[in-house]
Amino acid sequence: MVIRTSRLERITNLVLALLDTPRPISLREIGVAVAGYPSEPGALRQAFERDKRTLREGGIPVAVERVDGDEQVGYRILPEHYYLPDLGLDPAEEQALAFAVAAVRIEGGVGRDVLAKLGSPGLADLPPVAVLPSLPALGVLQQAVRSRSVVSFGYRERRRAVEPYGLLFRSGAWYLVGRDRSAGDGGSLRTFRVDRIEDAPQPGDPDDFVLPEDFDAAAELRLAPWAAGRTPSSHPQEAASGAGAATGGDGLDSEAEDTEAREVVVDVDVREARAALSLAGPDSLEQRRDDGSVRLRFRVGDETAFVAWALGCGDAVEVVEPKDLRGRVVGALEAAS
Amino acid sequence: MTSGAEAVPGASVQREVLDAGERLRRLLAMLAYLARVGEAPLAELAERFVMDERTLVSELELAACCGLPPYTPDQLLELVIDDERVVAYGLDALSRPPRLTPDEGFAVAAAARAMLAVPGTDQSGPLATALTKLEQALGADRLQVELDAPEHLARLRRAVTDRELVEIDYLGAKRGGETTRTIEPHAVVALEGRFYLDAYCHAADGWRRFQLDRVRAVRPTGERFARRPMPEEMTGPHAFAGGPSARLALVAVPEGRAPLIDNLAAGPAERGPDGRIVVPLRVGDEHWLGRLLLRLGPDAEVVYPPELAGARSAVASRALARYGRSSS
Repeated sequence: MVIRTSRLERITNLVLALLDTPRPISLREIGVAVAGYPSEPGALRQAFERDKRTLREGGIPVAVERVDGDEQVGYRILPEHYYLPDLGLDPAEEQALAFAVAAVRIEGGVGRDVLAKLGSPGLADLPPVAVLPSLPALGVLQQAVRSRSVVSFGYRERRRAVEPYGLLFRSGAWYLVGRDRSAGDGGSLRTFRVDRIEDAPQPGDPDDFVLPEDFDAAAELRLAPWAAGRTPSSHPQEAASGAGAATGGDGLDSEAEDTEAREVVVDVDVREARAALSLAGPDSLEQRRDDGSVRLRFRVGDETAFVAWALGCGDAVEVVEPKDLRGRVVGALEAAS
Repeated sequence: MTSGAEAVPGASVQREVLDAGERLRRLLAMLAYLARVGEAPLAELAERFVMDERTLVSELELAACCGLPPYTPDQLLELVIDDERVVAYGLDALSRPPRLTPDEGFAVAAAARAMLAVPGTDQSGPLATALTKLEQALGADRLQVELDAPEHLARLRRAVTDRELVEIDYLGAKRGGETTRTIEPHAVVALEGRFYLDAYCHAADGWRRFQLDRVRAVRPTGERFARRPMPEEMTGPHAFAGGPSARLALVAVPEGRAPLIDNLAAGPAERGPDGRIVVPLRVGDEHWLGRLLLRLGPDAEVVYPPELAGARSAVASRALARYGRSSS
């Protein structure tokens, strides 16, 4: 407890000193002048590096600059790196942001007090209009999109180096879309489910890639479990949770080669019509009936995943064609009944 | 033993790093706010920065010991704290707020994008222009939020606001399970990307959570209702999309399939005696569970409670009837 208190004090003193100094100051000067640092050089170095990391993680980069003298490097916090730029929000905009932050609950409670920084009026908790899941990686990933830093992280048991193009919330889950440099052939476009990222993403240097001009993550995201080119069947998609249907998107990145895609025809009743249409895409709609049910026609690459999807829709979906896939569904239902 | 002894210090260091960073973030934001307003009641500060008053005072007292070398009184942050309020002088260096941390930047952008995705939000109003300004100052964020847009959303949101008693036609999870109910709509909320309606249902004489895209029709009754307190299960921080009637079930799945449902898990999964992974799930609806089991394949099954063990075969039989009908 005592140690933690003094560490916060020490970092606060460090921020004040590094912001105040007109020239970069050396580690030795920091050790002598800033309250709270140990005098032994090794311990000083260790304590300072740790504090610097904490500051960087909190969005306050400590600039390292070359200086004359024995130590050769000096440190300071540049005002333009520390202060929030003037956003120029008018009162109506401040109010609108305050309302959005109060009415959209981000699970994990991050950022309720961020309004104070933006100068927005504080609002009491409103009944939520929407609840979004939050994950520790999201802040770092979004920052990496903004600064165009390549991020590295573990995913499906491989290290990835990804140019992050955008984050998208769809069907109840967060996805990162970007170019995976580790994928060979100079990298290829991939979708990663953020809650499947295996460790804390590490951002690299800023301005390391160029965002494609008219990139649209929503158009790139392929959630249909049966999409051609998805990893076959060991990963059929999981269910959406809640009282809803067991038909949510999967969003595992597609890494298998295109298999031969076959066309299927399904009848979907009104309970699943909207969900199925959003998975299969608007072009799949062949017929819409008065009772709200639809007939869809689309191509399927991963047939096992398609069968698992159809099974998971219970009596809301009927596979009409082809006959062998219809047979597989019926066979599985008979075995289960 | 060895691994345990190693793990503990590592974990505590990690926690301390996060903790100090989070406290620093909050303290700097608070000092910037104080520099701007000059003085503030403790109660207001505590609410604004989401902390209790005792913690607030101890953080402010700590800040009052900070300053610039050589830490003579004139170089310290000047904060005068009494029982009710704090007055700040000469916090010039901190008079403008620090940049947003990555988590803060994300929270603001995600909230604003989600709000814009709610059907009916003005797409060119102050929220949209505020977002544009944020992007200009902070960089293009390329953040998108998609929410469902069910047909009767606007109508039911209006009913909530007007406390209007309405009659709805609602499709149950089962085929042919359409019902007509008179309900008191209390809240409409998007959870996991789908909109739900929380209402007091007269037919059931209880609270129900309806999936909005299964509402087939809404009819006015011409009557108003008086608000009732909503149950904690619906409004609390752990409110579950399945609503207040959800119950806990344990489902055993082969190890390779466990990742398919880990995001549905209501708690930590464990390895069962037969090597399968046992995952706790909140089940709002037996039919939903049956469909999930069908998807997971024949090696997945309910191990608890026994009355849900037949969920899969019930759904399978109903689905078979559908195939039977169409092939005759």
